[in-house]
Amino acid sequence: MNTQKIKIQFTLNNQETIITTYPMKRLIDVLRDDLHLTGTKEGCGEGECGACAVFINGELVNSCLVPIIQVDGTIVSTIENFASDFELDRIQESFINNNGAQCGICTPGMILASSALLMKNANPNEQEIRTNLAGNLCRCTGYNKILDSVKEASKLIRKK
Amino acid sequence: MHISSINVYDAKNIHDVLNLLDKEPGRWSILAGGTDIMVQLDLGTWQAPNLINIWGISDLSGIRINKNEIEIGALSTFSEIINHPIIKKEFPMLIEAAMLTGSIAIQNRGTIGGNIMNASPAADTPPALLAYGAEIELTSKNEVRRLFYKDFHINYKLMRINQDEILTKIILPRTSNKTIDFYQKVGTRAAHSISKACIAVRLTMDKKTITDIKIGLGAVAPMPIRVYMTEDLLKGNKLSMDLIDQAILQIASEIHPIDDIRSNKAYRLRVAINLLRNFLKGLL
Ligand SMILES: Cc1cc2nc3c(=O)[nH]c(=O)nc-3n(C[C@H](O)[C@H](O)[C@H](O)COP(=O)(O)OP(=O)(O)OC[C@H]3O[C@@H](n4cnc5c(N)ncnc54)[C@H](O)[C@@H]3O)c2cc1C
Ligand code: FES
Ligand code: FES
Repeated sequence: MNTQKIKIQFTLNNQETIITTYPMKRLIDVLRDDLHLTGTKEGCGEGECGACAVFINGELVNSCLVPIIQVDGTIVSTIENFASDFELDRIQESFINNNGAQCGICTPGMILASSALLMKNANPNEQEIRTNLAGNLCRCTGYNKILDSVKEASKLIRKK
Repeated sequence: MHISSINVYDAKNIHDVLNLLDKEPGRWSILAGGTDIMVQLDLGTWQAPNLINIWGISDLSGIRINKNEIEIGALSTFSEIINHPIIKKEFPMLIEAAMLTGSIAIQNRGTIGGNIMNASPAADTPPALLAYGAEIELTSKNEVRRLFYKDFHINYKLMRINQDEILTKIILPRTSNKTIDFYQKVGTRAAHSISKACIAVRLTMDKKTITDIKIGLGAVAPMPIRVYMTEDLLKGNKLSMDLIDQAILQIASEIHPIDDIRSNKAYRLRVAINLLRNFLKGLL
């Protein structure tokens, strides 16, 4: 027997959003399938890879592990919220400059995890970057270019 | 079980939760941070069709510092624990365990209550809680009761909790004695990986005599355990190479590791023994 769909209301990338769906539907499925925001990627679907990372109330979480009922009343921000119409975010710029992305599946999550780190620590050392990105897997770059990207982003952020 | 057949009651406060558990005991399961439940749902192994969502209930989270003990709300996340200065100072093994639990995104969402109730024998906070002599608080509509955490796990995923109860707090006794803590997790990858073996020890020493010791272990039995006979053998005795050898023999007979995909019995036994031996030798 199917359970009832419920109404969920939240702020998504600065926009009031209302959706009616099953309470245990994963946030990532709501974002990608119902709201057509496909910047957030699904890698493992089990919390291991970080490709699906988003911010909820300013905290980094894996959207494949969050049931939509727990999103009601929150503020959600995804990779689509990083660039404006005219300008890329500095972290995005740094990833481009340093070839921090190849296939790009891990990149949105990498950028969000980097942003979470740089917001609390604008000048992390290499070990701190590694620890904070430990939940993000990349099958392409070999990680060095990602480390370079975060280091450059940290410089750009401190300059401004 | 498909998500379309899962019914969720969105509790607004603890009374909501307790009333429902009282009215229909056994029918409902708790949904906290969801980091274990969502994975099981995805894998198709989650079986319980009725969930009570407790995420966001403020009575269940928060850390309270009392004179003789610290109360940690069951819904406190690993991140909240990691960022607490007094826990960091007085219970560093709990911080270490929390920092080794998954990634930042997991730590932001996973709760200590969920870690205990999921009852994985390899979970990382239970050995630390055991070594600290933690108590837990279980609450039903009619009763609030306390239990020593060491008595909570009976066997694999079997715990002393009634169907109308919820885990509400973890309580850590504070001490002014000078203590020595030792925590070590052995896994395949630093962040993220599930323990192959995990040990937490808190002891007090007077000169070279061990005056008190608690040893908590993970992944060496069907549930997190203390090794009482090894503790008794060490307690009240002067530390020596001979005593350490006896303790090693004792712990080897006291733990019963399992074979699984992550490791095998012999390896786990060896790791647990080596961890304890190296720690004790360092105190000689
Ligand atoms: C990628 C990944 C990595 C992980 N790494 C580790 C690791 O290194 N070490 C480790 O120990 N764990 C690890 N975990 C497991 C998990 O994050 C923890 O067990 C977490 O603490 C569970 O808490 P939760 O709030 O998310 O629980 P939930 O998933 O919400 O619930 C888990 C279980 O506990 C019950 N429950 C929760 N709260 C209560 C309560 N207050 N009263 C009664 N029952 C309750 C639920 O009914 C359910 O059965 C990992 C998980 C993932 C996805
Ligand atoms: S898809 Fe969510 S963590 Fe991998
Ligand atoms: S760029 Fe392909 S997974 Fe990282």
